[in-house]
Amino acid sequence: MLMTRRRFFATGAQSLGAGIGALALQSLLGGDAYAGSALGPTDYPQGPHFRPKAKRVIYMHMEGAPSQIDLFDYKPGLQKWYDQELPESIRQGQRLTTMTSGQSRFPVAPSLFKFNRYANNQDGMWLSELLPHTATIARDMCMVRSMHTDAINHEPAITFFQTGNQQPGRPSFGSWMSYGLGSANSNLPTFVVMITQGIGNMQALSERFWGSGFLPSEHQGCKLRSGDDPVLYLNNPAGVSREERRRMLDLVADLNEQEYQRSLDPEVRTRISQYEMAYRMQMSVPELTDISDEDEATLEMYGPDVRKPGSFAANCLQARRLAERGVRFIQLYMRGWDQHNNLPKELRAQCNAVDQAQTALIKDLKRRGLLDETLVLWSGEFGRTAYSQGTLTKENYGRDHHPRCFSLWMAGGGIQPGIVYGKTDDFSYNIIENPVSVHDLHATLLHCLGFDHKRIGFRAMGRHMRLTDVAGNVVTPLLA
Amino acid sequence: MVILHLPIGLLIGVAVLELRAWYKRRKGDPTALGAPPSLLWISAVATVFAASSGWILHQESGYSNEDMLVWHERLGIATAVGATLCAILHARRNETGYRACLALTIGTLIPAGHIGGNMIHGEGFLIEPFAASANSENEEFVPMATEDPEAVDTPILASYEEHLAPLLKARCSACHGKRKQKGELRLDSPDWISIGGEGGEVLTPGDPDDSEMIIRLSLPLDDDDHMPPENKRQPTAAELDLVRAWIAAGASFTAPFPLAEGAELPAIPLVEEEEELGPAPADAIAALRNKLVHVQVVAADTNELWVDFSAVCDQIGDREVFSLLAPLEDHIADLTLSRTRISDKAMVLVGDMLRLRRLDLRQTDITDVGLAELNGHETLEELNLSQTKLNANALETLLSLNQLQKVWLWDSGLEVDSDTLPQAAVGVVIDNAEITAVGTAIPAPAVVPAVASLDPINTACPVTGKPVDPNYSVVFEGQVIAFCCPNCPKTFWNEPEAFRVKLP
Repeated sequence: MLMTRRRFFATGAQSLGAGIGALALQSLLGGDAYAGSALGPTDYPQGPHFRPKAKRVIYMHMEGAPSQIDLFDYKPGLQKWYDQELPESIRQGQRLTTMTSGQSRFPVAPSLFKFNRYANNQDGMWLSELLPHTATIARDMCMVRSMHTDAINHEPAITFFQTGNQQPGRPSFGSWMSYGLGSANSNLPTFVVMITQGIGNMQALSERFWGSGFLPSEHQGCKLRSGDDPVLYLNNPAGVSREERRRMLDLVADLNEQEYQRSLDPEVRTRISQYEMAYRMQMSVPELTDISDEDEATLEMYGPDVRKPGSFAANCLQARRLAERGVRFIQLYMRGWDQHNNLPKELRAQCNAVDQAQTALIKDLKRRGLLDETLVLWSGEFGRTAYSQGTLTKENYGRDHHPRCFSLWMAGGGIQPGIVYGKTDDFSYNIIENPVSVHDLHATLLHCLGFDHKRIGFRAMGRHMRLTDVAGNVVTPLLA
Repeated sequence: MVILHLPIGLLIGVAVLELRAWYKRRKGDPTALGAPPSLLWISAVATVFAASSGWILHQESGYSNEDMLVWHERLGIATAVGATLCAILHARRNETGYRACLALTIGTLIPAGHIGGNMIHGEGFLIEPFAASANSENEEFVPMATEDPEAVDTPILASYEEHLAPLLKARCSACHGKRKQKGELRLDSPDWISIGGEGGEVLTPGDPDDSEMIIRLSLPLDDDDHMPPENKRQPTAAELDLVRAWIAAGASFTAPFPLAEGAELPAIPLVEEEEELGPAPADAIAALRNKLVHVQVVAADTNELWVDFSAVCDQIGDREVFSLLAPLEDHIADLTLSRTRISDKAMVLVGDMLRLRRLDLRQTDITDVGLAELNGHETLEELNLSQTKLNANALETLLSLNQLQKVWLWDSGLEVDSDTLPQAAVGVVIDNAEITAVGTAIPAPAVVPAVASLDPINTACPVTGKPVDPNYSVVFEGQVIAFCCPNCPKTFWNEPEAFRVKLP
């Protein structure tokens, strides 16, 4: 790697990173009080700005966007609107996707599912019959019904949700947290991603959703695969002993350190530390994924799928195990929520796959005392339309993408439990009270983790970059 | 100091030799010799050298009392001149001149030396032991600022209640108080102080130097018996003087007592002062990190620490806890020991962590015995005891934690509900995490009121006056306005004000 002019200044400009600027600053200040560590590039001036409520995040992303009308946002008044044209007063000429913009009519499709009101800490929380287990944690859930986003298609919408920007290239939320909070367990990655395949229509799931963007690449998410080999190429090849691997790593580290001294490129240090991390993960990952130490009652709680590697239940159990091992950001992707047609059938199957497991996760965290310090987020990337995409019958309908309003729920560290926030109109089409943008959500989550969202940033592309870009307000009614 | 003392000794030596010679001659021994000329010359040179080095030192400044210094300097120079003259007169065999000059030189030497002593050791160093008989002679040639007579007349009064008690509370009662009684000693109330500790009484009223308290305070810092312990904040000199004066005056818990002359009252330590915490020792942090133990300041604006053993929990036992955490005892506010191999012994150290707010003992072998080390802990707010090995005795510890806000007891062996724990009144959440509870479904109300009316407020299109079709409606100022066709809303939005009169 050559020390080009551009690299030289880029390195120097990373004043929060391990660049020349930081080195110079550190020598000027006489060194940081805690700079005694041998752990390499994770020694950023890191840690929360103020006393945090949450130490880690479990983010369950429902890829494809679950229908808020069929799960959370109860609209009983729609029943009498069945198959009637969505009023222009509601649609207001808003942008549609090209999948339905050509439709000759926009027939209202009331939800096929019954709703019940469950006791929470207010006057009750409405939940669909599709989520009977989730209903038992209504007192722990903070339901936001007034989310809105800028993007109308999956790829930009997920990118926006993960990185605060619709265009690819920015660090994901998990990377920001890895950078800001640092690792609490040097034997495991700080940011772990696990994926469950869904039942229905599945959109592409780009690895850059957990990319680190302009942050040092040690902060990117590490995907744990299902099956015998959770991290590819982690095990030593046949015939290579652990001792031999150790000697090889020591030699490579020497060479890399020489290169670092020459180029001062933090990516070299990242490489050294990642080799070391992988070496330690050879021991820690098998210990993590071996669930033989879980008692039968616990496994039962997560449901029958828990023994099926890669299932949402298995991943929820892993999420708890990662949380208690100090991993900072655990992201579960559940694919298959993109029900443009056959929604009733597919939604039921999707809910079956997640309902018991996500409930068990919350309860398991709670009884172990971990829920208080873990921020749990359950969300899609946008909502779905009140009108039917394609043919509407009494038994079947589909719904298109809808960014104007959708619902998500949170629980745990720093979040007000048992409340419902925000209101939509009678068609769950527009927000009429307390809108929350994606930036607002990010600012609020960062607040729970002890960060002022305006102060946690990184200089890149000539300016101070933030997860919340130049927007975002902490939504204080959501805070405990 | 040799430079200083040498001429004084030499000149006095000369004088003594001369006096002896004079005495012997009077006794009829004409051969008796006085001081040898070499001694005189050495004295002269040494005196000049001392005076000039004094003058150089003065140029470089340093002493606060200018008055004293000027006089010391003048007398010093006079002595040097005198000593030189003595040597010259002696060489010229001018006996009378020599003797007179020697007498004068000694006469300047003594006050010069005395003022010098005052400057180094403080005024009145010589007369202090004989303070009762103030020597007026000295004042003639010690023209220095005297003490404020009023201060001498009315010494500063202090009292146990106002001064001693807060001091003992701030500096001692953390280990010798309600929560802990190291050495079986409590210093937080008159009764306890009077009783003393396992080694007997700590005070000998009237005799500070025989009082165990003063003896311990005065030991060298690295002595194991020194109090407060080496790593704790040490009392200031003024605070020590206060304790000493109190004991000297009889260690009364009620009567005021005078401070020593010139002593000042120390600032009363506030309890908040305890909050000011310096950075944790870097070597202790490095030791934790070398073991791959997570350690981090709780937040950027504090030096309090969060230590988490999760990454290496199966390698952590009592010994590791003691060796790694003892130097950080005062800094730890948040401690995660879950899934480690610790036993009740480790709790001895944990109980000493005065800033601990959150403690996670989940899935350890801690029993009620270890938990009892936390009895009366004054800052603990959250306590995770799930999957521990408690019994009903643990309740006593929980009841003694007055800051406790949350405690997790799932699978801990201790069954508690908010009725048996009266602290429920102060907001303790007992979270046994009932996991089988089913959410209570509240029956749906018959009719759910619409959150916004969707019915148009008008029946005639404001643009054309024709009957409206509700499918062509817009929301204007919070109300739904319907039109007859899709074109009319556009006309309306161009100039809504113009159509306002057409609305009902």
